[in-house]
Amino acid sequence: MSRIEVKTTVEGKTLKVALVGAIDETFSQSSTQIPKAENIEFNLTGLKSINSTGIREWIKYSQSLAGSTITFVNCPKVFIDQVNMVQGFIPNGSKISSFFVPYYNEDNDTEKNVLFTYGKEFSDAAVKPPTDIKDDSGAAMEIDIIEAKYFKFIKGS
Amino acid sequence: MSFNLSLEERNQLKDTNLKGAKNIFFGSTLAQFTNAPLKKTCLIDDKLDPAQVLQLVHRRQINHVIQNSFQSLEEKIQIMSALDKDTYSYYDIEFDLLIKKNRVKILKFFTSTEREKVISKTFEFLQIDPSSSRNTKVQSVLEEMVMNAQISAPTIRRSDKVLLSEIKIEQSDDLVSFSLIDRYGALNTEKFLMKVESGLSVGMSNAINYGRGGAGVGSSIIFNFVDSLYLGCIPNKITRVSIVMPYNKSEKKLELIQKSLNIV
Repeated sequence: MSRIEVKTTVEGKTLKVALVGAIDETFSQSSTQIPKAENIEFNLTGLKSINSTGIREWIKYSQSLAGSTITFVNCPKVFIDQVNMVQGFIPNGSKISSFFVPYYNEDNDTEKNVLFTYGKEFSDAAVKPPTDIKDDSGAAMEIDIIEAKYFKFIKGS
Repeated sequence: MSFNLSLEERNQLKDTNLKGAKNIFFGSTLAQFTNAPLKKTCLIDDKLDPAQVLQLVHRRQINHVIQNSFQSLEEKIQIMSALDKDTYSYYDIEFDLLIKKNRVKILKFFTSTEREKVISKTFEFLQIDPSSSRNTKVQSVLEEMVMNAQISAPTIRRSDKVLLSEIKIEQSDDLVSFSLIDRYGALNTEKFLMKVESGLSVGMSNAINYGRGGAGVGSSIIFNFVDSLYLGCIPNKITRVSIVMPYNKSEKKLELIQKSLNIV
């Protein structure tokens, strides 16, 4: 049984694909639900996990997207970790338009995922993490990643 | 914050916690292993990076390389002491990987059990949030371990038999331990270490197996994320893979891990 739900909609010339759940060994069955399109935008807000066989199935699938213009939005940490760790995890020429960065306050044990958007918090060559993130009590939160590792996929960062 | 210990401190912990070791040769410097007796060996070291730990176990054939980390060196030496008394006790589900723990649970499952259920029951017991970015590594490791028992082990054994597997969960204030025990006895520790080594040297993408079976990077995921890893197998009888790792810890703290690797 597949652990991922695929939702597709068309907006203008772009096929929008939302992936909700886990990418695992069953992903090859689910990916057949995604039609071919010239422009595809993957919304990954609901992506919860990717296991080792999921990494392989995802790469196989993404290789089949050659020729399409691919954009990824709302990429969670589990996705960005793989992009950084596995070369070729996303197709050549594809673009990450937005991704989440975890922030943490140790004293209050609070965490927040902050969305970094292309043109605001990052560009092709640099990242400017906001330094004024606060939790619900107003306490300052610290970025909870190793920046050299997590921003590796942004060339020049 | 640092987990580093001097040679004197390590020797003191060794002397206090290892009285009359019989079956394992313990040393605190690599030089002591040049003429090590022909029995199991344990290096109690410090400041080794993951690649060095792997190299010592895989290429220098040291059975146990242990370092002070989130799980203290003292606890690790106590576990070594138990293994020294009786190596085979490791395959008994009663064998503990956390000395100072608060909670223990054993879950049983089959190859046909939905993996998601095993994972969610484990997280329910642990009372930790799997969606927290601080626990994604715990979830990844658990998933890979369960998948090994459910898919890889029966595939390698080429067995159609549905055998019961068990997961033992131990939890302390900061640490969690998972022990996956299956009755296929299919784990090849040499291959496991080679896959991790391959992931470290040529990168995960080049280490992926695009053929049948596992992707070949699950071993790397487990090794990369844990504090301690124990691999044990009695061929065709039983496999026990155990890990110890911190939970609810920030990414910056996880960078401080000094790995330990054990071939039981």
